[in-house]
Amino acid sequence: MRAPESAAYRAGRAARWLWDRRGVWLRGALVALILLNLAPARARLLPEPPQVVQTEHPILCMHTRLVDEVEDLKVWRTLRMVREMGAPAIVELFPWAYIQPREGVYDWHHPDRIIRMARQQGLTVIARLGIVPAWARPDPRLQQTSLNYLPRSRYADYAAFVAAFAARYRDSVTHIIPWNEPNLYFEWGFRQVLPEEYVEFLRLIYAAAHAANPAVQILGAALAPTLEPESSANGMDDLIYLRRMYAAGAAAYFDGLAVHTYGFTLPPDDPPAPDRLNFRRYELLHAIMREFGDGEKPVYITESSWNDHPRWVNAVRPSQRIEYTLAALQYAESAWQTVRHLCFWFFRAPTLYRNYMDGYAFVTVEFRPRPIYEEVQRWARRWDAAP
Amino acid sequence: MGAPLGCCAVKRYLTRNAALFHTLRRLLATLCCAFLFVQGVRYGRYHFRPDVSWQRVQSSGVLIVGMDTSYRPFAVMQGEDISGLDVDIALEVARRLGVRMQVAPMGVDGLYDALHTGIVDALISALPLDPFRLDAFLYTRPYLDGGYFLVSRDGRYQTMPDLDGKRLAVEYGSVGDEQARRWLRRLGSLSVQHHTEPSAALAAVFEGAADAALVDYLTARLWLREHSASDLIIAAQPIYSEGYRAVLRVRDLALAGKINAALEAMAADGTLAAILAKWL
Repeated sequence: MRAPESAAYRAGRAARWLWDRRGVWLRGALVALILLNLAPARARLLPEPPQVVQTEHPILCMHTRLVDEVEDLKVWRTLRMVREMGAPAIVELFPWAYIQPREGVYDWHHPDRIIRMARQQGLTVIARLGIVPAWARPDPRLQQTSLNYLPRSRYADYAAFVAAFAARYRDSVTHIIPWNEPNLYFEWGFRQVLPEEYVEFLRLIYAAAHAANPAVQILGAALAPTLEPESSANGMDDLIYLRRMYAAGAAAYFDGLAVHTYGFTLPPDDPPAPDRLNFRRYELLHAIMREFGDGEKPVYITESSWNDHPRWVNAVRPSQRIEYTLAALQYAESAWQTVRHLCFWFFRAPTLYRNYMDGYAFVTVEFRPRPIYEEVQRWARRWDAAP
Repeated sequence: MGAPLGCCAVKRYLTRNAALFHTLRRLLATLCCAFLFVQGVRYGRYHFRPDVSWQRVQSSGVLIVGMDTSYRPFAVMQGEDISGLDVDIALEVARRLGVRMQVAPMGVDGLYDALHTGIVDALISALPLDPFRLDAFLYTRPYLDGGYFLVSRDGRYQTMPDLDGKRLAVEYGSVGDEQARRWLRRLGSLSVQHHTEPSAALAAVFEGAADAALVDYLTARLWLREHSASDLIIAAQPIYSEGYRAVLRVRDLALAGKINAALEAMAADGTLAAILAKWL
């Protein structure tokens, strides 16, 4: 008969048992440490009560750059500053390559948090979908392609992605822009720019997105303002491109049109002309829409701006930038009846571009509002009229 | 009955599989150690290799300087000639180093890439310190502060608190305007006037419509050069500092030290001030 083991004896045995397996514990701890550090950062922001945008000019909208932002706090702070400025809407790029890294596998983590926070701030999100994942492009050993290259055989995959996006955010995102500036050789994946091909692409997307979410608004991709002739290798004049799109029957495949219009060094009242790039070039695009009986379709100017970088040839003085921006907003609000939003490129970047692009920001990387932010805010919220 | 576990137990590998496993583990550990050693040596050879930047420039006898040649008055290209403040500074630095200076003209977008890839030895092109680039590049002492300074009659206003109750002229939307808006929250009765150009802000001070202007140093110097009869004086210290510096690769510490020493010497003996006075 064995003598009963004392507590000290049992503790000693347990300690010995643990000590004998120290290698296992240490390795396990190391693996756990690595895994915990690999895991996505936990949410640091707790839900807040929903906010409301206070604005007197709902035409105002900002193009944000949140997709490369890592920390929730920065996303939240950006969206809060957009709301406080008096802009009720944002345009944001959601890269297909981030969301669907492998065929059939979706990772909605990042768009979920951006859209959730935007909704919490009371902002409408206009989603631009682009950037082709590697699996949808040719094998790089056979053919080198850019991130904008989408072979015809993969159009249906992109359409399926747009449909999945529209379905997932059916209550949050009502406007989707498939692709960006397809009239540029670079944006069209260094393939020949063909409006008819884009219309075919749009037809597939429109059908798939509306089947997934009948309420979604598919916007025709904004065209780059350019004077490149039809025969150019770099792209195609946006007026020619839009006309050919309509001729190919595009009107049936988009619910609204996204537009890019930049003022460069010219004031917003500079008259439009086919051989001139200025803010009112939109009026020429709208004339083509009217010509094809589509003049009442809503328009979203998803990129517009003046730049005040001191070392760029297409920049203006900071004072001119403010003056032109406010005049453009007033002009668009009063004269362009079908324009729903005028969105400025861009609100804030996650880091410096270190070139002329930094001259577009309304808020610095450190979240310091530049005077243009305060002046547009003053206009949007009509603070001058306050007692 | 198995062998008891304990401090004095002798570990034995009873089976051939266990012995094989043990050998494989040792082999794997040895390979890992060898891999880490090789990588460590490669890392060390890359990061701790001798700095021959100064010897390289000495042996070639040429200091190649990257410049944006479209930025007046720092560097402007007219035909085959390049002239400007940065050109003169680079020439003087090269003279003090005992080498020739060669300008590599390029756009502002390409400057850092050219330095990073070794096309040029240094950049002297009105470049302010960029904290995001400090892991790859070295910045020398500033040769000019292009930031925002107060300009007033006889230089009577040197700091922002001096302007409480006064009228400050700024360019609308500029960094000066941004600073003025911040000071509006601190000073009880600062009055800020917005002008469309910094020269208009200076003219307002000259005409007595404002007490001081907060404008960038270059504009102030150039305006004062054109209005030599005015009694406006630039404050000694900036309200918003933005020093322009020479830039080098982070591993070219020896060359950076030489250029920095040359700039220090130029500042000490008045050469730098003479060059600035020539162009500004």
